[in-house]
Amino acid sequence: MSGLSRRQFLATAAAAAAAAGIPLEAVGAAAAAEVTPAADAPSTLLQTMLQGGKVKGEYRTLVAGPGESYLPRVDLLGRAPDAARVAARRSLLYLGHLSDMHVIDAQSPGRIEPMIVQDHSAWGSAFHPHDPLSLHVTSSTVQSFSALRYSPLTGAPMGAAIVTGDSADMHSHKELRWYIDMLDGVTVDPAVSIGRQFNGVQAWAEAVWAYRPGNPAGGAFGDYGFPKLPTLLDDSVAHPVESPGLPAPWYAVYGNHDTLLLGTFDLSSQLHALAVGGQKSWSLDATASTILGGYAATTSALGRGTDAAGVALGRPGFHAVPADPDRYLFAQAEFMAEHFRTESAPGPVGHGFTKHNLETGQTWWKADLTPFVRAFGLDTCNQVAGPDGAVPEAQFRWLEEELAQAQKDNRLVLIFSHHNSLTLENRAQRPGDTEKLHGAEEFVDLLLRFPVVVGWMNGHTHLNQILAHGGPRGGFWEITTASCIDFPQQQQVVEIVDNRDGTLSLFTTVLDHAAPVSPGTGATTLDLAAQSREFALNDWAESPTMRRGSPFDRNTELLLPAPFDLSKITDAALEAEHVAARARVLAHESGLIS
Amino acid sequence: MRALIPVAALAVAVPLALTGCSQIAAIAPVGGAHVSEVRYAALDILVQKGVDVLTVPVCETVDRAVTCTGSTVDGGAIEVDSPADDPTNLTVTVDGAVLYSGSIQDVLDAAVEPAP
Repeated sequence: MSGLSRRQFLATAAAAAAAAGIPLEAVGAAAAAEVTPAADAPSTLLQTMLQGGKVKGEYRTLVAGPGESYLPRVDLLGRAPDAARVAARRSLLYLGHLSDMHVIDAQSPGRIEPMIVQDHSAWGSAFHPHDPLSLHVTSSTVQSFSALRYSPLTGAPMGAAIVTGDSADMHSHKELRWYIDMLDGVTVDPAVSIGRQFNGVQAWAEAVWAYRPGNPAGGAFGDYGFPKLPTLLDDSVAHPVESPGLPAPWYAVYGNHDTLLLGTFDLSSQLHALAVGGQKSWSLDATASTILGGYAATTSALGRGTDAAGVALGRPGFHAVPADPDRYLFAQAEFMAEHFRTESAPGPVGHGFTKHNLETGQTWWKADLTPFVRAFGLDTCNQVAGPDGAVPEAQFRWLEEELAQAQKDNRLVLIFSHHNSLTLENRAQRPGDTEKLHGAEEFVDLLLRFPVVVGWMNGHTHLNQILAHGGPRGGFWEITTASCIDFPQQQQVVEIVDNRDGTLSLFTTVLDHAAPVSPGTGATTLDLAAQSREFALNDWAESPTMRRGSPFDRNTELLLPAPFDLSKITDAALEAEHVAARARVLAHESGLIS
Repeated sequence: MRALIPVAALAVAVPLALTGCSQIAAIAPVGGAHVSEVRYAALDILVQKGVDVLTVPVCETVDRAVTCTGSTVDGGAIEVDSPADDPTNLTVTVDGAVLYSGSIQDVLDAAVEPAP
C-alpha cells in the first residue's frame, strides 16, 4: 500500500503514536515495514484439535489434527471467483469475534447446578464438569487473540473486536467484572473475598451427581470415565489469572445470559438473596423448591422477606460457603454501566454503549469501527422469558433508518447480535405489552434491503455456522461463532477484504484457545484451560461432536458482490487506518513485554 | 444460549408458581439444534465426497422434517432429507444419486476424529 504522501504519513504516524502512547519512531518504523501475513500465528489454519481414542470408559482425550485452509464459498456470487483477486486484495478491516464466553463463578450460591439431576440433557447448561475453569479458558482465549493480533491472511493489524453476548453465565456482577477485566488485560484473582479453598458442589461428597475430581466414583461422571484429579479444584483458585487483554478496541452486546437467569428465567428475589449469601445448594430438592420455587414469592414484599429469611437460616440440601457481596445479580442497565468501568486501552470506554444508552436505557448502539465500516450492536434478548430472542419494533425501525443512512454514506455495515437467524422467534411478552417483536424472516428481509450490509455476526447456539442470505440486490453472510464453554471452545477472526474486482471477501478463521492439546501437570492457567477443553469434549449432554460445524462453517472465504465502488475507499485512507491500528497493537505489545 | 428445558422438566421443578408474566415461555428450547446437525452432516458428506459446491444447501424444518437444497458448480441439484419419523438419519443426493444414507451421528463423530 502506498497511499499516503511522506508528509501525510508522518502526520498520521505522529497522531497514532500520540493516541497510543507509543514513541513516534516505533510507530513510524512499524508502519513503514513491509506487511506480511502472520502465517505462523497459531490458528486452525495450522493445527486443529480432534477427538482421540477412549482412555477410560467412554472418556476420550484430544489429539492434534492437520490445519484447514480457507474454503471459498460463492453462494452469493453465483460463479467462480477471479483467481487474480489473490494478488490484488487489500484488507479493509481485521476483526476479532468472541461470543458466549460464559465466565463462571463456580463457587457462587447463585447457581442451579443440581437441576441436571432431573434431566441432564435438558439442564446441561446448569452444570459442566469444567465450570471452575472458565476463567482460565477466558484467559487462554484472550491469549489466542493477542497472538493473532496481525492477520494470518494479509498481515493487517487487528482493528476491533466484538463480543456477541453471554459473557456472564449466571447474571453475577462478579462474573461480569471478571469478563471485562480479562478482556482489558487486568489480572483476576478468583480467591478474593472467599479464600483459596474451593467450596462448591464439585468438592462435596453428597453431590454424587456432579463430577467430583477428588473422587469421581459413584456418579454418572465417574461411570463415564472422568479422571481422578485430587488437586484440580484447589488449583483452580490457587493463583490469580493473568490476561494479556485484547489487542484492539472491543465492543459488546447483550446475550440472554446477560438478561435472564441462565439466559431463560426472570430473576427471583430468592436468587438475589442466595447469590450474596453463605448457603449453597447441592441437592435437586433444595434448588427446585428454594431457588426456582422463589418465583412464587417475587410479587409480594412478604414473599421477598420470607425468601431472605430462609436463605439466612439455611435449609436442608445446602452447605455453608463464604459469602461475597460482589456476587450480586446485576440489573439490566448495570450491564451497560459496568462497561464504562474499564481500562483506557484497548477501549473504547463503554465498549459500544454510550452516555445516551445510560441516560435512556436504550440497549443497542452504532459505532464506526473505521471511516468505512459501520457496526450496529443490537439487543435481541427477550426481557421476559426463554433463551431465544427477537428484534423489538423500536429497535427494528431505528436500524431501518440507520441502514438507509449507511447506504447513502457508502459505509460497509456489520450487524452484531447475540441471537442468530435460527433463534429469533421468541415473542414472549408480559401481559399488556404490545410492542411488535420481529422474527428472523422479517429481520433478514430488512438487512437484504440494504446491500451495504455485508455481515451479521452472532452466537447463542455454541457452534460454528455460516449461512448465506441472498437477495435480488446481493446479500450478506451470517457468521455464528462457537463458545468458550462447550466443545470445541473456539472463537474466530474475520477479515473484510477488497478484491479490487468488484467483489468483497470475508475471511473467517477459527481459533482454538491458546492452551495445548493435552493438559500438562503444572496447574498453570493454560494447563487448566486445556483440561477444561478435554472435559468439554466429554460433556456428553452438550452434543460436543457437532459444534465444530462443517468445513463450510470454519475457515472460509465468503465472497459477495461489492455493494458500491470500493475504490472510493482510497489507499491513503486505508493506510492511515492501518497505521493507527498498528500503533494500538504496538502499545499492546509493549504491555506484553513489561 | 443454552437452556434446553422441556415442559415436563419445568413442570416438576417449578410447580407453576409463575405469576405475573409469561414465564411459561421459558420452557421453550434453544432453536435450531436439529436442523444444524442435519446440515453439518450433509456438508461433511459433500466435502468428504469431493463435491464442488456452488450453493451450500439451505435447510428448513417443516413439521419436524428437515430438508435442504443446494447446487453444484456444474448445475447439479443437492438434496438432503431427514424425515420427521426418522430424525436420526439423513439421505444426501446429488442429481438423484445417493451419496449417503444413514446415521447423522456417525457422520458427525467421524468428522471430529483423525482421518484413518
